[in-house]
Amino acid sequence: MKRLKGLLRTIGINPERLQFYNLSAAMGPRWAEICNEFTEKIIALGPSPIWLARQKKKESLKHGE
Amino acid sequence: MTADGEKIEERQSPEKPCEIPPDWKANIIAFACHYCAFAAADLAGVMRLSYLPNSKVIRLPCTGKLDHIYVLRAFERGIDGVFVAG
Amino acid sequence: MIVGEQKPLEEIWEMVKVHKQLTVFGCNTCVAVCHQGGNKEAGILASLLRMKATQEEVDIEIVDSGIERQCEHEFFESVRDLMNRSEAVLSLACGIGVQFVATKYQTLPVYPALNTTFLGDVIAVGHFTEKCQACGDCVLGLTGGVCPVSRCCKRLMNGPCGGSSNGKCEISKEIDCAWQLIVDRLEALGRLDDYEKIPPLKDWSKDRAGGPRSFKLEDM
Repeated sequence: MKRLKGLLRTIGINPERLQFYNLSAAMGPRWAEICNEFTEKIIALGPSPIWLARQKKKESLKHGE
Repeated sequence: MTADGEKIEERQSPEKPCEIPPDWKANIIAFACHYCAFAAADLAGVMRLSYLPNSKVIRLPCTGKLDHIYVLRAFERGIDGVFVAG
Repeated sequence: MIVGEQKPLEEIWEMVKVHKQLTVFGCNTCVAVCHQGGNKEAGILASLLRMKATQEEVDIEIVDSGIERQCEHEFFESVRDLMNRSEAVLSLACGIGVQFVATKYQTLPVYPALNTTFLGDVIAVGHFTEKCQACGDCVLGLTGGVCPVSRCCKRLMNGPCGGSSNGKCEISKEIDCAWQLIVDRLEALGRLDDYEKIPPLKDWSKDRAGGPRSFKLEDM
């Protein structure tokens, strides 16, 4: 876990984008809560740098055609 | 590394701030253990709880099945966040 | 086994970014044990490099592969096609594997992804320590199984120096005094008298002094 976060950091991705949760089968509401909570966090962080780079490449390919 | 040094490093994000494109939607992968978190997700469905639709769930037989490479490949393909529940 | 440590990603990237195609090539023997150069690590490193390439907007095709051992011809059979297709190889093997690839494929550029650090063991999960210097003339029989060549900072052959205190070396408090270990061990074996005996001179000509060493089986 720590290693993965370190790897993400070296590649310029915020380690906050990766999270572990402990959850039991009876925790349906908690699941919904986690989904919302994590989605909000990611929205706050914005798109990942990889996504942006890929998007940029796609755009340039489109223009090239 | 000292505990302090680590903390300071944790706070800074290596990402450059950028403008968020209007067509962007958070794309999240959730790795879930078949027996706990996936069942919890099922339960959330049965209870008709509504939550944000950005998370795509991938079922693992156990979170122990998770490999570094799964997470890295997700990021490689431009996913915005990954969480693991189990 | 041979212990290595992965180079920083930046350093690796600087070496390989000039190529259009790159094969990240793991070695699943020694360096896989220390989680630095195995086939799994090759996959991880390839993934990181692909992400790096995407962000730097460099067009480079990166594939990962690996074999059991990069220091023997036989193991390369399974990757013959891949090697012929590759434009460059980033080897996660120790220095031996990197050189083996370089010799085997004369026109293929090969880069090291690891710094080969030492010959060592696994004293605890994830903890590797140096135990052998391959000096070519083993004295472990005389020293109760503790190597003064690799474990004494000064390579002393005739007992501890004045810097040994409370069983630790003067170089660092983290390092055990090899000669303290030797004496303790001889005592435990009831062989402390052997410590007093003057051992034969060690043959240092079998060390690196004579240039690169080799060994050939007569019957092969």
